[in-house]
Parts: sequence; C-alpha cells; structure tokens
Amino acid sequence: MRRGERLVGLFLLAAFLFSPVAIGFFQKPVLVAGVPALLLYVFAAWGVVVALLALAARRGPDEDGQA
Amino acid sequence: MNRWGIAAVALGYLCLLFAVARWGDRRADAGRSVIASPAIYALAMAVYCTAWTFYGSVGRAAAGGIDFVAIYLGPTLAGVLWWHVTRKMLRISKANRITSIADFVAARYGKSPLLGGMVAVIALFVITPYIALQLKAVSASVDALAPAGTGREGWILGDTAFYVAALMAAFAILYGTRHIDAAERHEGMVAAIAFESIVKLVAFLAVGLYVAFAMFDGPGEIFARAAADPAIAPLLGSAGAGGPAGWVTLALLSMAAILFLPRQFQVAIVENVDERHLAHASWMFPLYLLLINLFVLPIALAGLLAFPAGSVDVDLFVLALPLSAGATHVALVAFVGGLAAATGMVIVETIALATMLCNDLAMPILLRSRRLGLAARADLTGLLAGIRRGSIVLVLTLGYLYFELIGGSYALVSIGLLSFAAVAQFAPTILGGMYWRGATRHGALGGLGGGFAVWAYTLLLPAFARSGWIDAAFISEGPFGIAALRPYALFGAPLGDPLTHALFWTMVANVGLFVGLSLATRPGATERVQATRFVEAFSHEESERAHGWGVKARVADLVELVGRFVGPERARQAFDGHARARGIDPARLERADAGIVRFAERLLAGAIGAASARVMLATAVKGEDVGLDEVMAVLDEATAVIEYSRQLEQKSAALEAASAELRAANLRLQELDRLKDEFLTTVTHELRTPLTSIRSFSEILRDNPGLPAAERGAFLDIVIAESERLTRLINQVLDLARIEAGRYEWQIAPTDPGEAVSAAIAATSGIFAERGVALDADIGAGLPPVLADRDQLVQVAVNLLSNAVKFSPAGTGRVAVSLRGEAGGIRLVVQDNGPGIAVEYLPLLFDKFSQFDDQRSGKPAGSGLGLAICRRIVEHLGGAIAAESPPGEGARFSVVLPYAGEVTRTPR
Repeated sequence: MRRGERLVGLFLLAAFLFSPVAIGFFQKPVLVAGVPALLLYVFAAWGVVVALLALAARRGPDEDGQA
Repeated sequence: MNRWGIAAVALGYLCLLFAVARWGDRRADAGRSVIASPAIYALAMAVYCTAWTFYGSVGRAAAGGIDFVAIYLGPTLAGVLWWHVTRKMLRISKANRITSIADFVAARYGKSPLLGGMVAVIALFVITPYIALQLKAVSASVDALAPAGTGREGWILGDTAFYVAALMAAFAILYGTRHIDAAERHEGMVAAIAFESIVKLVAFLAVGLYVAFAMFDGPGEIFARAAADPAIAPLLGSAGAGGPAGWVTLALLSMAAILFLPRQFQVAIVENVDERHLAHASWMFPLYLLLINLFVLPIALAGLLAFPAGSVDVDLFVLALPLSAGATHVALVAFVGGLAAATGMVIVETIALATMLCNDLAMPILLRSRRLGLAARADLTGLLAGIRRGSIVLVLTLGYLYFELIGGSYALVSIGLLSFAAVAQFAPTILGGMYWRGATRHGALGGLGGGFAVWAYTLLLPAFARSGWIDAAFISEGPFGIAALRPYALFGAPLGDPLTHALFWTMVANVGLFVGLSLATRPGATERVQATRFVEAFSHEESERAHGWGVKARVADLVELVGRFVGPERARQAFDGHARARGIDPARLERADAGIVRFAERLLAGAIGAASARVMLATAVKGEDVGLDEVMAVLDEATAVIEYSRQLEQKSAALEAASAELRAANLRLQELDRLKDEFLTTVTHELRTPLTSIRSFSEILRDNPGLPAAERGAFLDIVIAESERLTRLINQVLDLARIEAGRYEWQIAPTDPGEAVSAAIAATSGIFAERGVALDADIGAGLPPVLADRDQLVQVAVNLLSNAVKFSPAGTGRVAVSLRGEAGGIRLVVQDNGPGIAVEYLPLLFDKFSQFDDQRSGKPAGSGLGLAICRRIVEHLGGAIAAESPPGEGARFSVVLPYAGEVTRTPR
C-alpha cells in the first residue's frame, strides 16, 4: 500500500521536473562542464526519476500486497 | 556499398531473428521459458522505439533541439503510474482473457461487438500508415547505404519494402499464430522482440560512440563547436517550436501511446508472464529510453556540423555520418539497428492488429451471420488460424500499399504523431471505464466517435491538404472559406501548434460526449456487471470465487465447445488445470458452476475475443449468463412469491366470506330446527286436543251405559266431529308438508276461477248454514281463466271461507265473497264481520299455527294451518295473499292471481 502512495508522490515529482516550467529555467544555450545545461538537466532529472523508480521496485517485493 | 551485400546482411539478421524466435518457442514448449524475467519484459516494451525513434529522433533534434525527449519523458511518467494503471489493466485482462485493446473496450462496455469493432477499425485505420512508415524507413536506409543509381537496371532487390513486408508477414504468421489461444503468449515472438530491442540499443549506442569519439574528440567537442556556430547554437537551449504547450502535448500523447498503442498493449498486457515483472520493468524501460536517447542530440549536432545545411536528410544522419567517415561497418551496424527497430514494430503491431481484426471484427460478424454453420463445425481452430493469418497478410499488404502509393507524402511522414493523437482518443474510454463505474456504452461510442471525427478533421484532413490531395486553402481559409472552421484554428482558438490544438479539441469532443452520454444513459445489466468487474479488479477476485450461482451446463459440453476453438487436447488440459487450481478432482467435475463457465468464457475470449466468446457461449450453453439470468430468475421468483401471497390473501378473504355465509346458514339451520321443534310441539298439541276430547267422551260412554239416548247421541256427535277435525288436521299437515317439500304434484292448467270459487261456496255452505252465517257471493261472470291447480284453488277459497265463518258471530254473522277481474289478474275478496285481527298479529297471520287463542275464549277454532296452506298455494301460483282489518269492520282477506297467458280479456 505504501508503495502505491510513494509512486503517486514520485509521479508528482516527475511531473514537476519534466514540466515546461522547470525545463524553462534551463532553456539557455549555455554549456555547463562542456555539456548544454538543458541537456544536462533533462537527463539528470530523468536519471533521478529512474533511480527512484528502481528504488521503489527494489523495496517492493517485501510489501508487495494488494493495492 | 553493394546492394547484394546489404541484402545479405539484412537477410542474415532476419534469419537470426527467426532463430531466436524458434529458440524462444522451443524453450517455452520445454517449460523453460526465456522470457520470464522483468528485463526481457522491459526490453519487449521497448518495441515502443521504432525506426521513427531510431532515425527520426535525430532528425527532430536537428530541427527542434531537445523537444524529442518529451516523447520519452511521457512514457517515463507513465512508468511511474504503471503500478496503478497498467497493473490494473493487467489484472482485468488476465481475469477476462483480454487479447487486445479493442477486446478490452468491448469487454468493459457490456461485451459490445459494435464498440470492439469500432476500436479495431480505428486502430487499423491509424496504425497501418504507421507500419508503412517503418517500411519506408527501411527502404530509405537501404537507399542511403547504396544509392539507387548504382544498379537500377532490372534490380530485383529494388523494392526493399516489399521483401521486408513479405518476410515480416512470414514471421508474424509463424510466431504470432502458432497457438490459437492468444492468451497463451507468443514466447518466441517476445524473445525476438527483446533481442531486437538489444540490437537497436547497441547499434545506436555504437553509432553514438563512434560519432562522438572517433569522428569527434568526445561529446564535449561537439557541444563546444555547436555553441560556437551561431546557426546551431540556439538548438542547445531549445525545447522545440511548440513552446510549453507543445511540450506538454508531446508528453501527454506519448503517455497515452505507451498505454494504449496496440503493440504496447500486446507486449505489456497480453505477453505478460508475471504481474510482478511490472515493478522492475517500470524502471528498466525508462532506463532503456534514457540510454537510447543519450546520443541523439550529439549525433544531430554532429550531423549539422559535418554536412552543409540541407545537403543530407536530417533523418538519415545516423547512417550518413559513419558513411561519410568511411566507416561502412558502423553504418551497417546502424542499418541493422534501424532494421531491428522497424521489424520489431511491424511484427508486434501486425500481430496485435490481426488479433483485433480476427476477434473483434471478423468473428463477431461470422458468428452472427453464419452461426448455424459455425456451430455445426467440429473444429474451428483451422478457421481461426486462417482468419488470423489472413489478417496479418491484409495488414501488411495495406501497409505496403500505403508506402507504395503515398510514400513520400507529408501524410505518411507525420503519421507517427498523428497516430499517437488518434490512440489518445482511447484514453477517456479506457481509463474512464477502469475507474468510473457510471461510464456507459453509449458514452464510449459517443466519445470515441466524436474524438476520432475531430481528430480526422483537425489532423488527418490537413495532412491530406499538405500532401496536395485536397486544396491547401482548406487549411488557410477553412472549408468553403468559413474561417471559424479552419482545421488548425477551430473557432479561432489561440492554440499554437496543430497537435496541441487537435489534442484540445479532440478531448473536448471525446471527454464531453463520453461523460455527457454516460450521464444521460443507463447501463444495461451486462454492462453493470462488467463495470464492477473492471472498476473493482483488485478486490473482485475473491468475491467472484465466493458467489456461486448454479448453472445448467455440463463441463464436458464446455470442454467440447472450447476445444473447437483451441483444440480438444488443450481445452481438456486447461479445464483440468483450472479444476486442480481450485482444489477439485477433475474427474469428479461434472456440473459447471459459475466459475467454470466464466473460465470457459475467458478461454474462448482468448481465442475469439470477449464479444464473440459471449455469443458463442450463449448459443451453445443454456443458461450461460450465469450471474445475470440467475439474478433475474431470483427476482422473478420473488415477484411470484409476492403474487402468490396476494392470491393467498384474496383466498383467505373469500374463505372468510364463505365462513360467514356458513355461519349465517348454520344460524338459519338452527332457527329452522327450532321452528321444526315448535311445529312438532304445536302439531302434537293440536293432535292431543281432539284426541283427549274423543277419549274422554268415549270413556264417559263406556263407563255410563245407562246414559239417556239423546245425551249419548250428542256425545257421539262430538266424538265424530273431533275425529273429523283430527282427520282434517292430519290432511292439512300432510298437504303443507307436501307443498313445502315440493313433492305435491300440481295439475297446473287454465282454470275458470268463478267455477272454482262457486265450488268452494257449495262445499262450505253446510258450515254456513250450521252456524247461521249469511253469505253474499258476488262472482263475476265470464272471467278469463287463470293458470292454477283447480283443486288447490278450491282449497284456498274453502280455507278462506271456513276461516271467515269461524270468526263470524253465530247467527248475526255475514260473510261477503267477491271475485272480480282487475288489470293484473283476478281478485278474490272474503270479508267477515267478526272481531277483526289486532294490527300486531297481521304480519304473523300466514305463519303456521298462528292461532290467536287469546282473542277469543275457548278452544281454537282451527288447526292454524289453513292460512299457511293458502299462502303456499297462492305464492306457488304466482299470486299474492293479504289480510287487513280496519277497526270495527272485521277481517278482509284478498287473493290476487294473474291471468293465464298473455291474452287477457278486459274484465267486466
């Protein structure tokens, strides 16, 4: 049950991270450490979401009950 | 590069693909599945990445910067929701043996064949061009590697797309229709798709690494040079021309696509081995998307840096870059990756569409139109497989024709996002159906129809216009010059890019109609049952097990029925497995309970779709509609009970009335009994009086032999008179009894009343003379006859006369008799001048033994039966008798008797 709630929270976080507003902050043609800031941000955010998803899945099986 | 070489590589790759599929199927048959892991599951889902991803993402990045990412962020977001949404779809689909998105919709909305067919047709219409796009990509990639000019003359392999399509059809038929039970997964196909996903990822990464590190000095150099180039630099910070709205639109459309595209449904739902795989796939699949997109922007930028603007198709940078560097082998790897992306999509999409066409379009029609023919056929597996294979060939032929006929048009190139937008039309119907119990079939039909119509108007027709098939003014000025109806700006809505505009208006129409019609209509009974099964998918399984309506179906019948579609041996095994899973000995399973019927329906649904399965079971098994019909029967029963109790109530009321009648009758009987007792008492009393008299005078005569002769004579006269009285009394009692009992034999005939009355006067003249009573007779002459028994009529007159004479004072008495004709009959009046009758006794006068001894001293003058007999006789003859006694005038009796027949003569 907790897992379902965590995933809803994660969805809200991801929706914000991927929102045009959040992405808008980085819509400048500047390089950060040799990489476009926008590209860096998008893939970093993406990676964080995937990592959190993996975490949720890894914890899952123990409390894998019904939703 | 040599075309033969490319053909050999492609053929070699495809052979490898067949081998992988064959291996996967072999392992599955051996019970050692290779696909039972979350990683393979996630890789199969990566069929999402088509040639459009492989080549098109780079092209899109070269034009719009990072906006291509939105198409992969959407699925990532959806991945977060898998736990809620996809898991529920999975649960529902497994429980209902759903085999396609059309099946899913049809099953939710009351197993409606119309809805299923509609979804199937929309899917076919929208997805076929998408398949054509894949063929085009393969064809274009071959042309890029070996320009067509190098060997055009009579080139057998010139038509690459045709050979690819043909091979794909062969693959789909081999590995997509091997088993007819679609719910039994196509393990070989999944294994091949997972393999393809690895190939395309590795190929793309290889190209990316080669471009970044072999052609350039790492991505850093690419970015640095791009930032330095004023023409390219803006791309680094660009998220597309669509702006924020366009970004959101792309994300939303791709979210819908990952959930509802037929091929995604096929791999995620139908081919799912274990629900638990979903949790891990939900992060592995986004990771895959992240990895395959890692080098998209660098390759795009490198292409823009390497080639003069416009010299090379941006969509083919992936091939062109290694080729330009002379790295043919890398280009070949890229080609194989693109081929893998294209073929993977084509295979899964074709199988998904073929299943849909077969189960939701062909079978419902066949079952309906040729139901008898189908029911008679013992084995339908061949027919089913035939339809599936035919559908596969049909889909690929359509795809190929699309490519051939409109290959280079805008309509085809844009079909990727267009089909996403069309697939998004399924979202309200499906999500609404999964979470909203009140969603109805009409709502679904309206929403889908409206959404799809608006989609066609705002996206498809403009695409046609852009391709030059219809007048371009359609876009700029609207149809017939009506500006408000411009397809890219309906009602002048300020929604920048066409896709956002279309998404908005399609959803307005779709959701509006879906919700509106759902609220306005009432779901049918089957629909309500299905709605509950869908909405409560997570909590339903237990309750389903718990309630067991009985069904009148034999398990053997079900096995035979299912066997016709999936093969007898498989059916037998499936049923045995089901029985064992429920802890029942298969051999002892004879009567099908609701669970087994539902299991049979699910098995059938796997083979021929939910709607068809329902039709089939309903025709084959009596009382199949378990829950519903039984519920209805129970309801009917309840109604019958209510009706019965009402009848019972009525009956008990009738009974009450009857018992009241009985009570009344009983009272009457008691009264009659009492009257009889009284009568007997009176009669015996009446008999005793003369007897006593006779006895005492007889004793006097015996005991006194010396009595003078005169006295002796007087005594004997008394004895004789009393004896006569006794005789008369007995005769009267007998007469009365006979009349009352209805045993008297009436001699009814037209009788002259005057004659009868005269006879009576003659008979009683002795008494009159004896008592010195005068008699005035006034008998009318020529009176019409009356219907009567003459003797009885005489008796009446005699009784009245003797009665009158009795009560007339001796010597001074006068009795007047008159007989006259009147309007309704003759009237006989007997008037005396006696003391009369007290008013209170008048009503009782004609009762038996109503003597009024108290009126006069001395013994009664009559039996008390005379008047009673008169009344009986008169009433029997249809007349009336009455008595009146005006004070001081004596008593007057009158009898009225109707004339005989209708002919009445005017009385005198």
